[in-house]
Amino acid sequence: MIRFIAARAGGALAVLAAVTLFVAFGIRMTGDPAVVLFEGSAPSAEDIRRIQRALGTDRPFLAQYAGFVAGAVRGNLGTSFRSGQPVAGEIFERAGATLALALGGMLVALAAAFPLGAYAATHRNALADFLIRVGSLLGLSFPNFWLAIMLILIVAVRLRWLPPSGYSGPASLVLPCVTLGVILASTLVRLVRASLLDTLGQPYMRTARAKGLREGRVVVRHGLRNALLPVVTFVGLQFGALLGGVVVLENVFAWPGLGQLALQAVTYRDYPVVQGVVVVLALGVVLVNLLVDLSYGVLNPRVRVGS
Amino acid sequence: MSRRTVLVFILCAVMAVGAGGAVNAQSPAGSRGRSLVIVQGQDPQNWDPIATFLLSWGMVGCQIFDGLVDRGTDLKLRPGLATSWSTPDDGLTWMFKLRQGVTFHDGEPFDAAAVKFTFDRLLGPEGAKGPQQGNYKSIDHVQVVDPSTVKMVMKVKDPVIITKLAGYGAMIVPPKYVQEHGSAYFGANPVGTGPFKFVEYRKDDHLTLAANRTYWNGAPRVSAVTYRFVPEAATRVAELQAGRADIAQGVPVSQSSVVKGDANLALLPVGSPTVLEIRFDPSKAPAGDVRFRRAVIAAIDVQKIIDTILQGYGHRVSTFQSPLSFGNDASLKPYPYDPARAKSLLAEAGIRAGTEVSLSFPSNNADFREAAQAMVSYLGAAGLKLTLTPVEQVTYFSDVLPHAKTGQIYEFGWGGWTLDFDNTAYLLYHKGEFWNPVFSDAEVEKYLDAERTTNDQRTRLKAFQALDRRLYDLAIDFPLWQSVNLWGVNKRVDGFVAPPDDRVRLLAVATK
Amino acid sequence: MTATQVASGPLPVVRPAHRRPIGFRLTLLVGLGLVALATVSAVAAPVLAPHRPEAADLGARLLPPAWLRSPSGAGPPAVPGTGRPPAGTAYLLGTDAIGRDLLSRIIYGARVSLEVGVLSVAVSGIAGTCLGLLAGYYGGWWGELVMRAADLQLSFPFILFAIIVIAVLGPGLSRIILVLAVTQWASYARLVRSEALAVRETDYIQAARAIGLADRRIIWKHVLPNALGAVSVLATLSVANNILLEAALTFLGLGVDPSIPSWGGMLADSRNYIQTAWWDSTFPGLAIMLTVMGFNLVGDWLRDRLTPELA
Repeated sequence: MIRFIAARAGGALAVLAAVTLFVAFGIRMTGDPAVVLFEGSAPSAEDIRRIQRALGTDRPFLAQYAGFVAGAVRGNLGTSFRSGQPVAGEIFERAGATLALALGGMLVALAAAFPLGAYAATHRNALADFLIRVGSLLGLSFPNFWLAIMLILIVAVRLRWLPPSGYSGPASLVLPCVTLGVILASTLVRLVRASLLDTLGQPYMRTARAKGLREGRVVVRHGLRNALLPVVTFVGLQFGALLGGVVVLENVFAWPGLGQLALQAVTYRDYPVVQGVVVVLALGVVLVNLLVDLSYGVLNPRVRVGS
Repeated sequence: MSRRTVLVFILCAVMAVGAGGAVNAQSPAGSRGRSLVIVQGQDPQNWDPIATFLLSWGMVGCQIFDGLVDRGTDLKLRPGLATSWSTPDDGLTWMFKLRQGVTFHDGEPFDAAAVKFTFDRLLGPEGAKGPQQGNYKSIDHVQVVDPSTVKMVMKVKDPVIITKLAGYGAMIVPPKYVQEHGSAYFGANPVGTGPFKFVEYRKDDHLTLAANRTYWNGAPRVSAVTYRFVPEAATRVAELQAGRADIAQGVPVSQSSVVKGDANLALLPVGSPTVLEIRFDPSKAPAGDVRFRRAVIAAIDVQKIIDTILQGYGHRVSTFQSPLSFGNDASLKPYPYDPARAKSLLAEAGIRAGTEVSLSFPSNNADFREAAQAMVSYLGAAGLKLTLTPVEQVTYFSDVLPHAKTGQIYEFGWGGWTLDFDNTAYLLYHKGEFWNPVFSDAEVEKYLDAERTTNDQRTRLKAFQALDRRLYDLAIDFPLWQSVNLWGVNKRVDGFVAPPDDRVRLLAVATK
Repeated sequence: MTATQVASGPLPVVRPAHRRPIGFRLTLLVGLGLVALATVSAVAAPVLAPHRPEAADLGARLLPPAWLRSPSGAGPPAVPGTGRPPAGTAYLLGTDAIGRDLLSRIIYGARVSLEVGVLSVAVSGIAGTCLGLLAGYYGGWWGELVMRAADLQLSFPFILFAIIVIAVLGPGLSRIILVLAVTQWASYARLVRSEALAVRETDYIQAARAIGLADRRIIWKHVLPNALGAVSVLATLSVANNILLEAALTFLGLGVDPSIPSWGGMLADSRNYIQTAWWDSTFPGLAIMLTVMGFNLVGDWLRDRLTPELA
């Protein structure tokens, strides 16, 4: 086990190094942050050089990257070109909002997907199953920004039940998390249903029923638990993909989170912030993947990862 | 278990909705009383006046800071923190008499030392890190003459220095506060002499200001202002409709009827000095042929585009400047729409039907995006196959355009803030300038030189008129329209004037 | 020990004998029908579409669908600058902000949307499945490498990757497909790997290996069919997802030429007209939904066929 974790830690570091290298290189390939600062008022060559010197972007790429890594291992992620504030602080300020959105959305999705998926699986080919399947497709057919704008128009503008945007307390969490949750749930429902259908047809399930266990208990104790494996995999996978959807939703809901920070940083070529955000996100994804892999051992003892 | 989960979920949903419902009882707008909420599209991230050129800074920064010179909504200059100024030697030095009895929000007195500190900082190493310094290079240094007088010594005569003193970089900052806390802290917790003082700031979320009761020009009529940063236009309009915002910046034309149709809202259009055009890159065939350029121009019905896509919110221009600009030739009529002529010009130039040309433009301008699609249709009718290449805005302006990576045709917009065509014309038509990587013409250079090397406005006007005609004949660009910005305002707001330069002025604004 | 008693773990392995009756064959027919509809629409667009998709008529902007218009076309237009259609043209589903026929654009839009959806899924699915099989079945350091590469891919926020790639390479349909394919192979790899791991551990497979059954045969006959079940669910959902991701990229300003119709692009560009011209976004959304439904129904049928179960 220790060797397994050590090996994974080594792998994680390699991943982090590769990701940050790719980003640091890629973002420097086009656009110059010094020019960007001038926002359309044409800078002279001398102006540009002056700013480049101040930002440190006139140094060779490897020197800049080495500086970043040297600082990062000590916990110093550099200073934002745009705001002049430490990057770590910028990230920390916004992490809470994004976490709240992501976790809230995931919770909504799970709370909706498990009951609906289980119901659809156990009432296969009935009208309810059909409706649930069509409903999940509906949830998949409109892009997240469209769903978000529709919810804002209906709930916030017409009904005036909730605030249209911004992070200002629990009421403001509802619309963004529901938007995210509906989209995630649409996929999750189908996954839960498919996994359950697989599991429910098993011989040992028949045995359980033959033993006299109630259908509900059978479904839950044996069915759902075994369905968890692909669902957990999915959740782990979605964590990385989640951030893509979160960027758009944070934009529509004016949510002060990491998604907006990352988007603006890339747009304005704020290298230290981009690098810092990518490091933090990559770290998060690697951790979640590690947890998912470890959970395989718990959910299915036959699968001993790393053996 | 699953049933319980469902029940819990329903319970939570009901509670959430119920909590929201309780607020519904009173109108959100009315519950704000004498405080305003303004939504704008961008958070400039840094409130230090020397660190940015963003228009979104000006919307906010002018509540917190003042300059020696102030600019009103009529775009005319007025005394600000300086009550008068004079130049005894035709522009080599300037003397400013400073306003008495002004204090910064932290209690520091405003005096000559503060002005000197501001300009030392702007022109020194701190200012070197930011883009504003380049604008004030003509200043050598500022001297304290006495606590209420400063002398500004210039390196070189600058005819627009007084206008520039109304700019961000010249806004006066508090010496003790900045020295004590440092620039990084100052950028997040700004202090100035303006009508509103800083209360709190949450990045990408909101900035709250409270009225400065001791403001030198009279206390504001509202008690507090909260700026909220909402990047998506549809959401800004939703905030307005839901009564959670009083003023919304940047209402897109496509939403104008929504705002106009709402009984509680008013739509305030305001012309800005920004002009939009499409330019040709003569280095990319067939844009080097003047007949091709004239054909493209004749094929597009700009007035129709303004009347329909812009719903009338735009003014047709014939040269790349607004009617207010000095150097504008009112007698020059805009290029006419003549689809038959377009076809014949193309035939004359030997350009076969179906020739592909491309139009590059920044993807964030929604109105131009629609106009460009209409152009596809117009050029298609003339026999050209137009493809559109939307480019992400920052990449477009910092990489694609200056390095001539655009298609044969590309979009360009420019705000002529100095209201003098020289600034625009030199940057766009002089050989080798940042925004003009490819084009050059000897006659154009001649006229540019003529208008730059004299102070006699009559001579300059003549040179400009000749320049206008030459550019018109060359058809190197096709000026389209002068922009009109749309602001949405809740009817409970009284006295708000939509600013042509995006600098929101709230001193005279009150809530009904 | 019979095969049935041995069978354990979350995934069934044995039994070529009983094929589960396909049962509700209607779902397959409906699914194929919808996919065919989209495909025919894409292929035969020039024949089917009543108007050219880029032909703008600024005098006929934002017209509602034909059945909502008053017969004489009389009455003031809701939005200034819009107009009444010239006599004789139908504009069945209405027009968009530039006066282009919505129905024609939806028909042509199938081309881009299907290209984006299907190609990106095909590339990422095939690559990801192969890599996942290898990583799961063989494991070892080769498997670790694949998994770390997958981690790498998954740690990278899609939107940032898309912005960087498109900023460097320029906009275009091929870039979008590239970005989608490159960012999604890892999902298939991880999914297939987890299935492959589970299958490898079952007693049946271990016994089979012990008696010398070739790895390739095992993978092909036992691992792959089970993996394909989950993969087909993911793939069919991804087709839809990718069409929508193209919409998100357009929303963020990274999309393709806006005069070329694509369902996702139409949704993004019409978001400011939701309150004044709801048809401009609703019908492209319905087009996506029907196509997605088609792919999913086919995918469901595939999954049922490929994942043998006990009757």
